[in-house]
Amino acid sequence: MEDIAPQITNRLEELGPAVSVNFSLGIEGYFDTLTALIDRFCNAKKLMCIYISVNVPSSTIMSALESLEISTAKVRFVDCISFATMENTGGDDRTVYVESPTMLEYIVLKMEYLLRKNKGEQFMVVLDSVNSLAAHNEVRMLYEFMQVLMASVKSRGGYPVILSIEEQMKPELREMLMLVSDQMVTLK
Amino acid sequence: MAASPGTRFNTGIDCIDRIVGGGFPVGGMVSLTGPCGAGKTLLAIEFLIRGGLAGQKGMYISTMHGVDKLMTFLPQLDYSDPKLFEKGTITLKHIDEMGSGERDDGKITHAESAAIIDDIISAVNKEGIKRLVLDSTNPLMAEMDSWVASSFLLTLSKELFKSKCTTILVTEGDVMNGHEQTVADGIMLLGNEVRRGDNFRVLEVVKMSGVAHSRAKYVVDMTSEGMLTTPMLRGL
Repeated sequence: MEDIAPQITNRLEELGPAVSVNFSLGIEGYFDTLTALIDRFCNAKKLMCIYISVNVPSSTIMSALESLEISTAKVRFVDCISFATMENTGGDDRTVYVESPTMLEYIVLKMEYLLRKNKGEQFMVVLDSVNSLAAHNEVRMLYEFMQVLMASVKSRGGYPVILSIEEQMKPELREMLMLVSDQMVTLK
Repeated sequence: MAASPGTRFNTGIDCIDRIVGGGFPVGGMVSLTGPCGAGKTLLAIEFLIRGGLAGQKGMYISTMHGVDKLMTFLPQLDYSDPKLFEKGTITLKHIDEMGSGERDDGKITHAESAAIIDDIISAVNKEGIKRLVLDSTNPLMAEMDSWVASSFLLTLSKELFKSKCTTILVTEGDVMNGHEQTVADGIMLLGNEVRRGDNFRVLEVVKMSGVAHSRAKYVVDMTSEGMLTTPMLRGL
């Protein structure tokens, strides 16, 4: 496997903001992708990162980043999984919670809330992951949601990033991703 | 965020202005209806605060809770400025301060309803109030005979229009054929919608005089940064 970080950062640099990119990755490349996006790209460019976590609770991601001594000062989470799994859902003002990953509209609203709260910040939105959302939602509903989310990020000049796990990809999900992504990148 | 000239009254609540096609009718009366816990009072308060931030005076008249209790129970609103309340840009009153407070066998008579209107209009004109909230109409309507209630709202609507004071009438419940909706220039519903067991807070604009407004349902989030909306997904 090649080094993932340069594949991600080079592609994002090349495409610039307001272009929706789907990064398709293998499970083994998950944490490398995460650190590349947050540390090597967002922190390096002083971007706020709005991280929509559906796959792993935000507290787990936060702990992982902190153990790697990656600054989380500009990371904000829309956590869609901790409420449903009865994890701790309080005490961190960098995280807002959505009660269930089926409440897709609230993901858009929480992102909007974070943008208002951090007005003027340049930002990236990472959806982690589309496969996890697909496990909770019909693909047609997900398609509608992704269109709204991507349009919303693009219109504000943010970097819209979708993560998908290659091993979990169903054909109808891939088809939907092709419709909502301006670029499909497979990380090798 | 300044109020728009002409016939539309920019509320300053971005999502509402987008949905209703630019704002409420100037001097119009808008009915905000919905069950308890739907966010009606918060929306009405935001209407006053956004106006206050744009330099417009507002008045909130409570028919139920005392104003002290209301202020205690308000959540943190980061978009607000406490000075708006301290300096009197937004005033909070209780309906008992209007009219004589007299009741005939527990009923508000026609004469008393006229006295309430006189006091409201006098305060509006004296203070230069441009935004008014009456929250909620239910106790008042319950204390009036049907014809008195209808006459009260019609007269109030006419007088407020003359004063160019744009008003939100908060009404609790899901009845759509009350006196408030009959008289109102605009009707907004805040309610709950269940989808696959998930409960969504939703907003719908049923009527807004003089504009081609959106008829879609919007999912609502009442946040410390103000009200946020996004179209409800259909998944068709």
